[in-house]
Amino acid sequence: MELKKVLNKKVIVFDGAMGTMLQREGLAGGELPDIYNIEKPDIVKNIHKAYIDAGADIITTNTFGSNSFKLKDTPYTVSEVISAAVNNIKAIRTTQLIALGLSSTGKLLEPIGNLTFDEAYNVFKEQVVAGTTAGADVILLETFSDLQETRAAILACKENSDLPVFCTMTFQDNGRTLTGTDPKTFVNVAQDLGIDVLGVNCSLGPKEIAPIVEEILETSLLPVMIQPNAGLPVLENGETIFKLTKEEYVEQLKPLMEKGVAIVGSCCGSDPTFTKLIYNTYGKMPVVPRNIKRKTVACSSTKSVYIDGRIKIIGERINPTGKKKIKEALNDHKLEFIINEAINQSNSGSDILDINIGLPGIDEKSIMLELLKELDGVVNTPLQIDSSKTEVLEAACRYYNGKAIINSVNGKQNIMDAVFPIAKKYGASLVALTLDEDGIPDSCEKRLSIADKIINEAKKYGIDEERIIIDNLVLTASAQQQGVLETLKAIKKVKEKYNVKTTLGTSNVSFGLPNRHMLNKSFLLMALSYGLDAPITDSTAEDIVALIKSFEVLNNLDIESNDYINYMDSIKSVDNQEKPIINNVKDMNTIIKNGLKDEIESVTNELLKLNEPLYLVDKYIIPSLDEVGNLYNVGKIYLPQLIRSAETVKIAFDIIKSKIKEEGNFDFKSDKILIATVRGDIHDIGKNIVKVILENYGYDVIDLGKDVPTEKIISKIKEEKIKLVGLSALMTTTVINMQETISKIREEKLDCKILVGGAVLTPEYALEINADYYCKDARETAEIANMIFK
Amino acid sequence: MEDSKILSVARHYLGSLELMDEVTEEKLNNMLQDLKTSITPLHVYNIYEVSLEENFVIFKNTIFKVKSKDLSELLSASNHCILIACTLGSLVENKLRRYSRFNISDGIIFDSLAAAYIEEYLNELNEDLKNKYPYLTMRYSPGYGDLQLDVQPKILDLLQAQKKIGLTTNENYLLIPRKSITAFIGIQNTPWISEKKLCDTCKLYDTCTLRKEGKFCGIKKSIK
Repeated sequence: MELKKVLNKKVIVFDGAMGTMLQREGLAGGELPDIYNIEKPDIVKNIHKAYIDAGADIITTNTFGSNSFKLKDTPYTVSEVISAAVNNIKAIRTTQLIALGLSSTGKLLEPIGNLTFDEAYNVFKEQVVAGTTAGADVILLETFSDLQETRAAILACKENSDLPVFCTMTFQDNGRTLTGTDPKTFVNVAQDLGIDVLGVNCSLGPKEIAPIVEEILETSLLPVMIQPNAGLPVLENGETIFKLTKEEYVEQLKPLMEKGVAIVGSCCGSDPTFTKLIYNTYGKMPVVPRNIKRKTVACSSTKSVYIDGRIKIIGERINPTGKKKIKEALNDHKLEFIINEAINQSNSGSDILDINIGLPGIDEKSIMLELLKELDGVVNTPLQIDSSKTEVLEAACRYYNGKAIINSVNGKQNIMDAVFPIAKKYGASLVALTLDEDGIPDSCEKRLSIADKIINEAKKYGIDEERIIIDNLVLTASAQQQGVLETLKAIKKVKEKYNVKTTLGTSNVSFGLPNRHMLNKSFLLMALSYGLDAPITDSTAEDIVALIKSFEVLNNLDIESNDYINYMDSIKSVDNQEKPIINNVKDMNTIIKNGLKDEIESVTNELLKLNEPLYLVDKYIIPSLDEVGNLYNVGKIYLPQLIRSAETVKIAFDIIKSKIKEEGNFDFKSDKILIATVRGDIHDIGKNIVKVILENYGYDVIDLGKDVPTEKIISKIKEEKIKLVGLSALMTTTVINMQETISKIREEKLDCKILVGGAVLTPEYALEINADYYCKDARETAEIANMIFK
Repeated sequence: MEDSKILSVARHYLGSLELMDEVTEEKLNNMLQDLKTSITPLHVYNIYEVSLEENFVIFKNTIFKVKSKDLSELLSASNHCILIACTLGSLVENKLRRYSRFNISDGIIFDSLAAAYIEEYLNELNEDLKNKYPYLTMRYSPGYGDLQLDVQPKILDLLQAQKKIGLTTNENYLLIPRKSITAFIGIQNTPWISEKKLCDTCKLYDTCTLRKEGKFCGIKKSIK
């Protein structure tokens, strides 16, 4: 069968379950079916033959678990098993194609698990190379339930093989994959990664899977493939059975075939009789055509945000320019502030977040990747990667768990040459600035001609205009007043000519004039009325959001003004909430004891007017901390209150530290303490509590996080000249890694003391593993730290 | 699953046997609603014929056998054993990361709730199983007694847990996502009576501060 001739024209039939069939042949529970390719090839061949005879066009290799993790305890290599699997089909096929069937590594990727993207990629690469060399015709990535892992697998295919790639994910009956990806997000992300077919397999029967398939059919520009289970599984007498008959199965497929499915097979619980009936009913029928229009979209792993019709806010706040706190966060490599900015923007109505961390002197690429990992899953808003360095754009697009927007490409030939390939490879959308080698144009017409150039160049890479968001750039009204209208006209004109969307940052316009905010807002409103789709602005500014919502009412976008009304109600209720009237200025002790984070700032500032910063620490903060600690020890308060007090103190401390820096009398150098949860262990709550308490006592805590390899700890100790290290482990199996870390530290004769803590640790064991101190809790850690440093 | 039960267990994990302060209670309640509306716990189980050989429990028709004196004792009167795995899933992990980003104190509260939630979920599943199979032993998880953690990946393989409920282990046998439990439960023909208390088989028996205060770390399991 010649795939190109048939794909998306005539229905292609895949084979059915292998596992179910092997179980009938005596496969024991927990036994790896893939081994049969080498040890019992005839059984495997017979099953393949049965599917061939039943009419299947494509036969899948018995390699669901043929990866280096799962084959580890067998005597066989990945290459051996996969070659055997491919050869088993080769020996008996005639016109049928061989699909190399690959599935998940079986491990969860970072940040939930500890498998890195590159490690997953390498596992897939090994399989792809083996299967391609052995002579497979097609690669089938199936039963994937995590989008990031799927991306790694797709890239491994595209970068190591020329074979066509079919990719099907598995969805739960709540309509999402196990890690939360919805069908249209899967399609939006996968279809621009260079694959040939996508769809869904396993998990559910044809009836239950229908809504998911429909969503895919409505979104996918690629041919769609489905391989449902033979119904839902039931446990009967210790056996898992699928109860759908082949007649019911085929009948339930009908509405989906009628909506345009191009490739159909079956998964768990099926057998060659299913395939035969599928083939007889749907085989070689014409594929029902679908007319799908591409839309402008950006995605996180759990959400697709379309730019079409309604105004979408791109949050601008993560940008070091003019933002002291962001600069500090980047320079000190303490990304918490940035992550919180992302959360705040997302909560206040940003639909997409622009991430710009371009600051001289920092490792922009590695911090960008770290940030992406931290945000993954915590913030569901899609990201726009804002950088002038192509290596940062490339890395970010590769590792971003979603479909990013690249900010930006422009009309300069060398920039287009560098950026388009990245967008093409990773499926990103692009912000395109209408500037070129001659700079920012004066006129609307010149902007349009640059847009022409960019869009046409993009098409050479196969990047459709719907993936481009034009930014016509506005200069400042004070210097080039006539230019403002040129920008606005260009918004309208470019959308008349092309199916592109538009974006714009509004704050340039007011530079050099008084009441910048008023000008920015007014300009925003004007731009919206000229057709601006996605302003880059500040969603935490309530008046900006209100303005946009008003526009949507007046421009007939928010039908019946529902969103506007709801929004206005919600802010009214916030305003009406009784703000606690602070009658008597509570003293610092009460505020700390009760964890009143809202009140600590003003009281601290008041006290700093009259007192030296360090006096505050000694007279107010430390005694309060001690008191809170004692209340906790005697059980009068509990852990959450203890920590809330500690977090309140942290706020005070940050203010005090800034004051000391400002006064410049001396450089407030805190003693540094390194903490980490050891390799293999991902428990970190205890460690995080220790961090908060230690910071309360004035220490500069360098937290390497969890699952930290020894090498990283050692190099940090050397780099920062650490004198005190705290290690945490919570399991009997990871305490061994703690021991290893300590030996290495001792071996290298590093001048530092080691504290250890964690549920499985005891004072005796701490001695055994050569630690200096055992800490039973955070407070003890602080006491011992105080003793060591004082 | 009753809210009050989950909250009570969560308070337990936070160190309190009674209602806590106002702020914490409000957070407990709000976060519980957040958990309930956004998380679907998942489970998978299967029933295997088992036989005992020296200190091994052998699962018939599988390649699985477990070396554990304590598990063998538990299953000494069982012909069949339920293997069960359950998880709150990776979305709970993400929520925990998000709460912890705001405040460690919020993270601690949410963590306790999630731990209570999965425990109660498994308790409910256990009750459902008791309705089908009246004489069940207590449930026994890897890490209890001499039942090593390294049995965990094998349980997951057998149940195909990675594919079905997205439950995996890392190279240190830690379940990922974290709010997950695996357990063995024996099916007997007669009521199960335990000679030993759970604490007796715990590794931390000597240093456990809770035990010294007459309390338990786990939920008081009913010993029939």
